[in-house]
Amino acid sequence: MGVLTRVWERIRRPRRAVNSVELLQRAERLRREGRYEEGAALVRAALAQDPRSTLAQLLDGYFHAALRESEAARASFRAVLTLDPEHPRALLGLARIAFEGGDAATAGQLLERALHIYPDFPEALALLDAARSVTGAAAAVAPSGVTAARLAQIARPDGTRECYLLAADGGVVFAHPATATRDALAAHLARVASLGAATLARAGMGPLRRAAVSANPGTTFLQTDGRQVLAVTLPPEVPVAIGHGQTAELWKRFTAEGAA
Amino acid sequence: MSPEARAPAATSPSAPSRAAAVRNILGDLARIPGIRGGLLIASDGFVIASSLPAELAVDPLAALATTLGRELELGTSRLHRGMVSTAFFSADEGSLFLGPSPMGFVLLLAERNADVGAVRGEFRRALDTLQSAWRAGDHTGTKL
Repeated sequence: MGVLTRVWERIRRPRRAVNSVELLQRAERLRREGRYEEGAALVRAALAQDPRSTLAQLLDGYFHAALRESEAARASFRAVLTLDPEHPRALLGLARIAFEGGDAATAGQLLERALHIYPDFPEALALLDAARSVTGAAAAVAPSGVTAARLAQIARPDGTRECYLLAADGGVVFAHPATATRDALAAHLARVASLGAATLARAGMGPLRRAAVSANPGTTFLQTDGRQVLAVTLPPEVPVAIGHGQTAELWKRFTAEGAA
Repeated sequence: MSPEARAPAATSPSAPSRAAAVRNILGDLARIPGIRGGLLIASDGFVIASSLPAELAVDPLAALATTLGRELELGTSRLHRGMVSTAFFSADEGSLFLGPSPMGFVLLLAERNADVGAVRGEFRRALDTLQSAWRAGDHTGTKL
C-alpha cells in the first residue's frame, strides 16, 4: 500500500466517537471552572448516549442547580433515584430544593433518608441541623394585641421601611407596616436568621447576634437573642454601622416594654 | 461506600486562566487582616475554591452557606425586595460575609477583631471584580 493510500485511509477513517465517560470527565472539569452551560451541554450529550447513567443524571442535576434551574434539577435528581433509590447525593440535592421552596419539613425527611444510609454524611448532617432549627423552633412568645399596640408606640429609626419582631419560628409579634405579604416576609426573615446562625455555628463562631442584608431598596438589619428576631429595614444610604446602632437601640426599647 | 464514592470522580487538570483569576481574587481576600479565609461555592453547594483553614470542614459549611445564599436570593425575589448585594452575619467569635457571584456565592469568614467596615468594602470590591472578570472572559476562559 502506497503512502498516499495510507494517508487517504487515515483521513477517511471516522474519528473515534467520544464516549459518555469522557464526556462526563470533561463536564466535571468544566464544573470546577464554573462553566456550567458548557458542562451541562456535555452531560446532555452523555445522557443521549447512555440515558441510564446515574452519574450523568446526577451531574445533570448539579448543573441545573448551579444554573439556578430548580425544577429541572429536581427532575434530574428524581431520575437518579429511579436508578438508585438510595443515592445519598440525589437525596441531598432534592433536600436542598425542598429547602429553597420553604419546605424545611420535606428537606428534613429527605436528609434523614440519606443519613439512614450514610450516617456520617457531613453535608446532610449540617443541613438537617438547619432544617430542624427552622421547623422545630417553637414559638417562644405568644404575640398579644396589647404588646403589639405598645410596641407600635415606640419611635422607630427615621426612614424605617419595615420593622418586624418575630419569634424564632417566624411567628409575628409585631409588624410595621401590616401588608399582605407580612407572614411570608416573617417566615423568610426567620429562615435567614436561622440559616445564618447555623452557618456561623458551623464556622465555630458562636451564636448569631446581628446581621445586615443589603439589597437594592434598602438594608435589613437583624438583631437576635436566639429566641426572638428584630428586623428593621432602613434606606440604602444609611451606613451599616449606624443601622446596627439604631437597631440595637430599638431592641433595647422593645426589651424595656417586655417584648423582646 | 461513602456518599463521596458515588459522587462524580475528581478530575483536576491544569486550571484555565479564568478559573485561576477567580481563585486569585479569593486569595487576595484571604490576605486582608483579620480574615480567616473564604469559599467560592456553586449554587448547588459545590466548592470551586477554598482558602479556609484546614481545621474547618469545608463541605458542610458550603452546604449551609449555599442554602443561606439561595434563601436570600429567592426570598427577596419572591417578596419583590430587589437583589441582595451582600449579607453580613455576626457572632461573638467572628462574622461572615456572603455575596452573589456569577459562579454562585462567595463566603468570607472574619475574626472577632477584624475591621468589619474595611472588610465589607474589600468584599464588595472583590464581588465587583469577580463580575468584571466573568464578563471579560470568553467561553473558553482564554481572555483572562
